[in-house]
Amino acid sequence: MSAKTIIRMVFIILIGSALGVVNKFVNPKAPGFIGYYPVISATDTAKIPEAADEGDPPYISIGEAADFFNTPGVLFVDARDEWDYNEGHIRGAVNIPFETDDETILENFMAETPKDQPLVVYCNGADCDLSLYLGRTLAAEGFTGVNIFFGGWTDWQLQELPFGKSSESESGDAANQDSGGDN
Amino acid sequence: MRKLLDNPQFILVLRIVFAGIFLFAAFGKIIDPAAFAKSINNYHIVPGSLVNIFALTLPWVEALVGIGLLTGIWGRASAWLTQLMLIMFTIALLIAISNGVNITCGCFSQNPEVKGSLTMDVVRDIAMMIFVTPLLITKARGFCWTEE
Repeated sequence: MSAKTIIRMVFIILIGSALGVVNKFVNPKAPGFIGYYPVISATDTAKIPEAADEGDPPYISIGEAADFFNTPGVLFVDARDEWDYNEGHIRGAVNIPFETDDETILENFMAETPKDQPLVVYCNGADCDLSLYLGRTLAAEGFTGVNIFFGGWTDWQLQELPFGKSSESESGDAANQDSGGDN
Repeated sequence: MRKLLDNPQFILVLRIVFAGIFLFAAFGKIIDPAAFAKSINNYHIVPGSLVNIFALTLPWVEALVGIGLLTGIWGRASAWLTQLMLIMFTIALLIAISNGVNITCGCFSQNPEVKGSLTMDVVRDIAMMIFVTPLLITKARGFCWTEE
């Protein structure tokens, strides 16, 4: 192998890398530059709530939730109340508080969101069934891409995966805009 | 043997075959890098934070190498990179086999439903390593292959 060949090999790798960067920006299926993959034990199984029923939307594990997070176009939905959401949530998630008398957020979300939008609904974790109820509601309303991540915010934090706080501006946060006009 | 290695027709056939294989492999990964990233991560070899960079760039190197072999432009460098990638893929497969992880190769298809045997993938890669070797040492010229 001559020096010229080696230099050309390096160039091919550099050009390939540059094209990869271009692809990142033009291809809607391209992931972000930094991957978020939890370190998962061999037994990465979905947590399933006791109240689970047959016919519920699929329950997914933390590994599957992270896969969805890495997949462009998947929307995370936080079913907890606004206060919990503001304290910290899965990055990019929208907030649809399920335990509330005001159903406008949910109704607006359902009106604005395509029925085949891939969704990951989550809540706090083991002590919270809101993800289950919200997931069922969405599925009953005809949403076909609903997944329930029952490990929720607790498991997400344990894996130190990316999170956001309400003060940060995030894309796709429209459903979180509270029109209550308090204060 | 030397006569075969320097036979322009034989070399041209090898170039076309390997260009086809690598362009085909690259295509699916370029259109869906997120799925390829998942395949890479399943090997548990590349650190999670680097998986996506790998998934974005590797297919383009495969594609460029395919073009290089086909056109003969930087043909020798392309052939060497082909060999290096095959070695890398084979090592990754062997590590996956020895760790006993239940994965699919992700070599051509990123569909996890397509279950193949990793051992057969290793056999295929070794066969490819043997058949790409003539391109590293041939003295045959022609069909735009000008590189020393």
